[in-house]
Amino acid sequence: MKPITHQILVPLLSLLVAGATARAADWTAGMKEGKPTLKSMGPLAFGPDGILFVADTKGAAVVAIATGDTTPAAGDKPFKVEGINQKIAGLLGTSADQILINDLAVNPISRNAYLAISRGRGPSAIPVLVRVKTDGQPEVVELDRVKFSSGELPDAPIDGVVGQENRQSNPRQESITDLAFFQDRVLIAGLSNEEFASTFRAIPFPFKTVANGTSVEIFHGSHGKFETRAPVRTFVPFKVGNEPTLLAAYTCTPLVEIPLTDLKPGAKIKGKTIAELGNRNRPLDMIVYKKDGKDFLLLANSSRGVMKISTDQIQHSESITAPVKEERKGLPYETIAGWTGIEQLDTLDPKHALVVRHGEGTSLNLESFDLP
Amino acid sequence: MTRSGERDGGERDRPGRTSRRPADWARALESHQTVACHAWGSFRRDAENWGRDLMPFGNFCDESQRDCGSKPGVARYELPWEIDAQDGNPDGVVARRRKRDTTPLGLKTDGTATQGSSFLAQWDTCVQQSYLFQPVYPTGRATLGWTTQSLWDCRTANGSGVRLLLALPSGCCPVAASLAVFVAALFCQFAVGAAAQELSSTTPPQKFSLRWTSDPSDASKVFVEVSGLSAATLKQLDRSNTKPHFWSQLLAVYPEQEDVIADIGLPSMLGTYRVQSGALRFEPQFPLEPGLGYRAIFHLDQLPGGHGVRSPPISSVFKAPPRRSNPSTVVSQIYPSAARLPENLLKFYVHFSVPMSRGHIYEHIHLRDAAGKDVELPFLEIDEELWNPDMTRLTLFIDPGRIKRGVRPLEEVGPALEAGKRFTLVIDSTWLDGAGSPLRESFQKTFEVGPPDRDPPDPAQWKIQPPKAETRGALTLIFPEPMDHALAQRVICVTSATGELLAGATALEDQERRWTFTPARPWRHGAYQLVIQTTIEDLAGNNIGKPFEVDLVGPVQRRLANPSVKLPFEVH
Repeated sequence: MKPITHQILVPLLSLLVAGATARAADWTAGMKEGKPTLKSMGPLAFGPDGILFVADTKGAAVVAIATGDTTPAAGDKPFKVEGINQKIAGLLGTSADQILINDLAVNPISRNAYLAISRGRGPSAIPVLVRVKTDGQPEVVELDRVKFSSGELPDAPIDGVVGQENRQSNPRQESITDLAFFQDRVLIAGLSNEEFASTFRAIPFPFKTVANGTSVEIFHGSHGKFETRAPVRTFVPFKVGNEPTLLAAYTCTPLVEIPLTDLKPGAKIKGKTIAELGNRNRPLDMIVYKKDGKDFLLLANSSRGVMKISTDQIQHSESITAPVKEERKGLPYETIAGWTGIEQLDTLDPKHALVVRHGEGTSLNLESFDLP
Repeated sequence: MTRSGERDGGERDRPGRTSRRPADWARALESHQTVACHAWGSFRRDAENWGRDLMPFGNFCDESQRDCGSKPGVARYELPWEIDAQDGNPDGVVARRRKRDTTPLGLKTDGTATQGSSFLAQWDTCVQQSYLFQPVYPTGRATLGWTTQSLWDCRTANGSGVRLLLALPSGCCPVAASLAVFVAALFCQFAVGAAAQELSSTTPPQKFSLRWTSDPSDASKVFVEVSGLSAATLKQLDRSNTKPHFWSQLLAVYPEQEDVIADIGLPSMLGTYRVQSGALRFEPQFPLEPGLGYRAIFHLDQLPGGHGVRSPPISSVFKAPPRRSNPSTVVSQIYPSAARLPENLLKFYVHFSVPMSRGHIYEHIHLRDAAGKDVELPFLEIDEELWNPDMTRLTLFIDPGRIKRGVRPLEEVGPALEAGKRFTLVIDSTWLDGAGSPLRESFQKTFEVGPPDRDPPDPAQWKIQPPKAETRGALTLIFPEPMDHALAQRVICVTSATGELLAGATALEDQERRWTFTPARPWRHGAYQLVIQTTIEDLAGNNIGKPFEVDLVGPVQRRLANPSVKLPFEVH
C-alpha cells in the first residue's frame, strides 16, 4: 500500500530492471487527460512525480493519476487533525457514519495526505479522493480533468455467464488488499470473494493498452510439512542485502519474505516465514523506514499495537519451520507504546509516520508521530 | 463562481429500494424554518478558554435508580438552550455521555440548530448515567444564554419518571438544586421563510430571504437561494471571481453531525454558487442524506460593501425527508445449506434480499457454540470486505489461521469449529441495508460439525444422469459431498462433443450436492460433455486434484496439469 521510502527507493531503482531509470523522466507517457472512471477507491500508493495509484476493486483496475502535486514540502510541520471523518462528512454533506476511509497515502514530495473515501456504504457509494494538507482542512481532489491511465488486472474476474442462460453480472470480485509501486511495476495483492486464491500481480508502468502483467500464486509452507495457498493481506517492497524483496503478511498471520526476482509469469512462490506475529491479531498496514543508518519495519496490527521490527537480521534469518511455542518467534520486535487505535499508516517524511487512528467517540484523527 | 465542479449523484438510486418521493421532499421544503436569532448570555468568553470537554453550564447527570429491568430505555431530557456564536460557523449543542463511560453514545440531539429544547437519550443498562451538554462552535467568540431550572423531569420509555439534576460547574450531582440560572436578555426573532435585516445605516433597507427550494423537475434536488439582493449586489457577485473561501464565508451549508464532541472547525459543504433568476443560489455537490438536517447560514456582512456591518447571520434549516423505515430486508440464504459441515469449513456465503451497507460488518456476525458463547475471532476480517458487485452476497472466510495446520493461531487457540460440536452462525438485525434500514429480523443457522475433509473432490465419483433426447429435460450431476455454492454455479458448463457451449439454466440443489442443467433447446441424440474447471472447491477448499493443504511428506498428491476436466455423456 505504501511507497517505500525515498532513501530505500533510490538505491533500489539502480538495481535490477535495465532501462527503468532511462524511462523515469517519462512516467506520464501514455496518459490521457480527462476524467478517470473509478467505480470504487481502495488502496492507494504513490509512485514517482506525484503519480498516485488508485486501486479500483469494482473496476478490476489500477488507475494512475498525475496529481500535479509536485511542489516539495517546506518543513516538517506535524499533523494533528481531529475528527477527520467528521470534517470530511461536513465537506461532502453527509454524516460521519456515511464516511469510510479506505486508505491513506502520503505524497512523498509534497507531504500532503491523500485519503480514499467512500461517501456512503451501499452499492451506490461515491468514491472521493480527499487531500489534507498540514493546515488540517480536507479538500476534494477534483478528477474531472486530470492526466491518468488505467492498468487492467491480469486474469481479473470479468462479467461472465452464470448458469449459461442466466446472463448476469459475475458475482465474483477480487478485492485489492494492498498496492505498492516498485521500480517500474505496480505490485498488487488481491483476495477473491469465491476461490481461496493467492494471486499476486505485477503490472509494468507506464501502463500499456493491453494487459501484460504478471500473475503468480503464492504459497505458505508450514513446518516444512504442509503447503497451502496464502493470500497476502499487506506488504511492502524492501531491500534485503542486495536483493529486492517483498515483506508480506499473510492472511494466516505469518510475516514472510519473498524475493521480487521470483515474480515471473506462472511462477509458484513460497514465502519464507521470518516472524510469527501472534494469534488473535491481524496485520493492517506496514511501512519501512531508516533511522540512525538502520532500516526498520513498522507494522500496525489490529490487537497487538504497532510493532517495530529491526530488519538487520532478515538477511540471515532462518525460516521458521518448526512449531512455534514461544510468545515471539523469528525476528525480534518491540511494541510501540502510545500508538493505539491505528487504522491506517504511512510514511510522512524521513522522521515521521502519519496515521489514521481512533479518537474520542466515533471520531477518527489524522496524526503524525515521530518514527520510533 | 463555481466553488467546485458538479458531479453526478445517484446515491438515492439504489437498486431494489424505494425511489425518490417528491412529495416528501416538497413537504419538507414547505416546513423548513428560517431563523434569525440573537441571544446574549450572562457571560462571554473566547471559545478557546472554555475547554474542550466540560462546559461549566452543561454538565449534568441522571443519578436516579430506575427499574427498567433488562429492557432498554429512552428518556427525553428537556433542557432549553440558546446559542449564537456569531462567527459564521454552525452552532449547536451536543449531548454525550461522560468521557469515562465507554458505552456507545446512543444519543440524539437537536443537533446544530441555533436553538433547541430537548434531546433524546437512550440507554441499555440501568446504571447511573451522566451526560455532558456541550456547545459546538468551531471558532471565534461565542455567546451563550440559556433559560432553565434546576430540576427536570423526563419520562422513560415505560412511562416512569426520571429526575435529572443539573450541576455546576462540573462533576456529577447531587448538589444541583442550587443551580444558578443564568438568563440574560434573549432576543430571538423567528421567521418562517424570510428574515429581514437592515444592511447598514447608509444603505437602504433591503429585504432578504434565505430559503431552501427544489428543482421543479426533481423535488429531491434541493438548493439554497438568497433573494432580495439588489441588482447592483447581484451584479457584483456575478462578476466575482473570488476564491472558494469567499463563497463559504458568505453562504455556507453544514450538515448536522451528532457526534462531533470538540471544536474541530467543520468545513462547509461543497457545492456550486451562481447568480440565477435574481438570486444567489447554492447547489450542493452531493445529494442530501435522507433524514439529515442541513443548516444554511447567510452572512450579510460578507456581501460586497457590507464590511463592518454588525448584523447577525440568517439561518435556514432544512430537514431532508427520512427514508421510510419499514424494515423488510432479510438474510435470504446462507451457504453451505447443509446442517453438518466439516471442521475445516473454509467459508460461508451470506445472501441478503437487497443490497447491504459495508463498514464494520463483522460486528454484526457471530459464531456461537452450543452454550451460546461467542467463538473468538473465527472469521478472516478484512477492511475491504468480500462482497459481490451488487452487495447482496457477503463471503465470510473462516480465518485461515484457524484452519491451516502448523500456523500459530490454530496451535494456540484451536480451530474455529470443532468436530462433534454444534455451532450457530448469527447475523444481527442491527446490520443496516444499503438504504440505511435494519434487517427485519436476525438470522441464525445452527449446524453440527463433522471431521475435517482433506480429500480433493474426485470427478470419477460423480454421477451423471443424462436427459432424454428431443426433450428439454434436465441434465443432473450428483456429487457425493456438498460443493462450494458459488463455484459450482460458475465453473461447470455443458458443451457439445465439439466444444460448443450450450445455452441453458443451471441450479444447485440438495444441499449443493445436485447440479442440474436445463437446456434452452431440446437435446439431440449424441455425445456431449460436462466441462468443470479444477478450481471448483468442496466445503473445505479442496480443489480437483489438489487438497487445501498439500502434505509434503505424505503420499505424493495427484496433480492435474489441465485447468479443467471433461466428463463425456451420451443423450439417447
